[in-house]
Amino acid sequence: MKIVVCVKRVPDTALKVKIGSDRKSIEKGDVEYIVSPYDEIAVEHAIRFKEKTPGTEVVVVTLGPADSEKNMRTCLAMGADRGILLQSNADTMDSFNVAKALSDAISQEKPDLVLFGIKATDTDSSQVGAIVSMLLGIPFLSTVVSFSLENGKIKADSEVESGHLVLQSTIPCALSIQKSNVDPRICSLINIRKAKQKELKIVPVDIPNDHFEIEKMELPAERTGGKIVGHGPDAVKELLRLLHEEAKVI
Amino acid sequence: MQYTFYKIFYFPKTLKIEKEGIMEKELLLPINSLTEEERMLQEMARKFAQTQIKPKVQKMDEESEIAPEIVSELFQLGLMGIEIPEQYGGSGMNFTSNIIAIEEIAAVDPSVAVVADVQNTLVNNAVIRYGTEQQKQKFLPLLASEKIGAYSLSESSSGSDAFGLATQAREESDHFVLNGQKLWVTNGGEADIFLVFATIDKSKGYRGITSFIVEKSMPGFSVGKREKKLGIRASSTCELILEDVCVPKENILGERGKGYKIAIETLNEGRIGIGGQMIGLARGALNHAIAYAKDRKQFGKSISEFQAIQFSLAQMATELEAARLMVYNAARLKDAKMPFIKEAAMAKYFSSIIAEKVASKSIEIFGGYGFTKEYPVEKYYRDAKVGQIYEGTTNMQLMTIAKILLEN
Repeated sequence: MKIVVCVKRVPDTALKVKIGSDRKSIEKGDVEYIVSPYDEIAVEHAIRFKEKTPGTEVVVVTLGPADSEKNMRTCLAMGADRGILLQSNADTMDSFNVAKALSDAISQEKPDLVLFGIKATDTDSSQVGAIVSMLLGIPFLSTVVSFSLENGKIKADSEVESGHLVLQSTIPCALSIQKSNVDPRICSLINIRKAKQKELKIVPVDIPNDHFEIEKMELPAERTGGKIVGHGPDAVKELLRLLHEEAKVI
Repeated sequence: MQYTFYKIFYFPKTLKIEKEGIMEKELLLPINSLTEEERMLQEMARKFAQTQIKPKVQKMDEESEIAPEIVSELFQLGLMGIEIPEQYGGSGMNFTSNIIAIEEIAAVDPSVAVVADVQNTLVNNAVIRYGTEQQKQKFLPLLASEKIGAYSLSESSSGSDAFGLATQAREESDHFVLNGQKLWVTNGGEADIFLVFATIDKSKGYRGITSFIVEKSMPGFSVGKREKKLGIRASSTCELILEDVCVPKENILGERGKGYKIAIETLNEGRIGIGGQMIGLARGALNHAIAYAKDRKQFGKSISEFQAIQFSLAQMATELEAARLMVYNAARLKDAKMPFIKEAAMAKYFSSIIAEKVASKSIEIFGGYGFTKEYPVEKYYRDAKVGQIYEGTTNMQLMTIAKILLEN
């Protein structure tokens, strides 16, 4: 089995982002980049699969600037066998262009399984996985929380609104991984050292101009505190009035 | 009259910028810059501390006991054998890596940090430096993977006057017989491997002191009273009792009568580790204070909007920055095999004072809440105090610094 995991670097989720002076992008000054948490879970799934299935190779692929190397090393320290960094400084939001570059690289690898995090925590668009699958011409199973190989097919548990679907697919196929009780491992010091020796292929890529552009970027409105309209049954009347007249929800 | 000013050493770490294959310029990097591997270690230790230690801090403090799963995770992650060469099952990193790991752990729990600190900077360090090939093969893989080590120098009547120790080692055919009582042994409760300093000839003074590797299973060896302490409560501090303990001669670490050298040299280095613990502790307390100051509202606004609070935080951060640079500079000097003893003593002296101060100021920012055990800052304050005492008191650090200043 060969598993390709696509990962994206995103601004550290613990960080409060600021909008840059162009009002179209985030301020990059002190931003630390991490592997998108859902992608990290996808890497963890691939490594657990590898640990159960000897002979499995896990290849991580990313598209990003040169310093994405450090995020790739994290994935290699987790246990991936090698990495491919599609190097581009394009600050693209166009999922199609990203998917095109990724699928070109992935098709050369001829993987049995392609994993994606369900979404990247920066743009939340959940598009790249599906477009890559389409470009590769392979089935795409979304919101997967666990999967296994049974009789040459992939059996996946997919989380849907208030329930689960058990899906089965031929190989090759692609899965988008949803958060579950699988937590990404903390890399041991020995594996950190080993990661340094692992192959990381750097391939420069040209990303065409975006089909669309960002006109404006805004932070969500600051949350205002709730309002206490009174206590006990006496407050009901005022509450109804506010819900009707101010909030206009009833 | 000519004055001799003491030199300041910086770790010469450079960034080489090439243009079309030709060196264009060479920049000196900041003292606290990290290599790629060191940065990954920092990230790993931070993640471990935040996700696994943090939920257990209060319980471990209350019960004065380190959770066994934390100890096994420290081993699993390679944090108990940071400098042990890879051929002995360790991680083969540099000395500074100890400091990085200790700082990250101490930011969450200084008592867990000291468990790793003693293992790495005292016990492993001494075996790596002074052990015979046979000792390294026997003990290093154990210390890297499963056995906790302890370092046992102090006694009830020999603290700062460490070489006034009374524990006796009597030579017999192929072994030594050890008798005496040791005190203040960090990790004593959990350790299996002990570096015990004893005298083979009291009349020779410090030249009689010899270091022995004592295993817990040796008959006559027992762990005595466990101290009840103000701080770092999850780390055990114990008395050791040695009653006719037969230690084979192959367990002598280094040369006979040269134990004092091992003690001095390992402590010179070990105190940089305590510096790492102190700056981690101060950073942990300061981060809590910053978060609380932003959150807490008085007089209709967040207290972080008051200049008094702002200045207090700014001062704490500045002093911490100074201490941190001193600690990292000392560690880098040691890795670069440059003189570091004075800088190490300065780093430990200064960082332990700053740690107490920052923790104390953090409590003040929390006000009454900070004084209670409901909030995390009082623990940092309790944990800080020992930094001015163990691995050489503040006075001993000042003596070391002064001696070097005046010897030229």
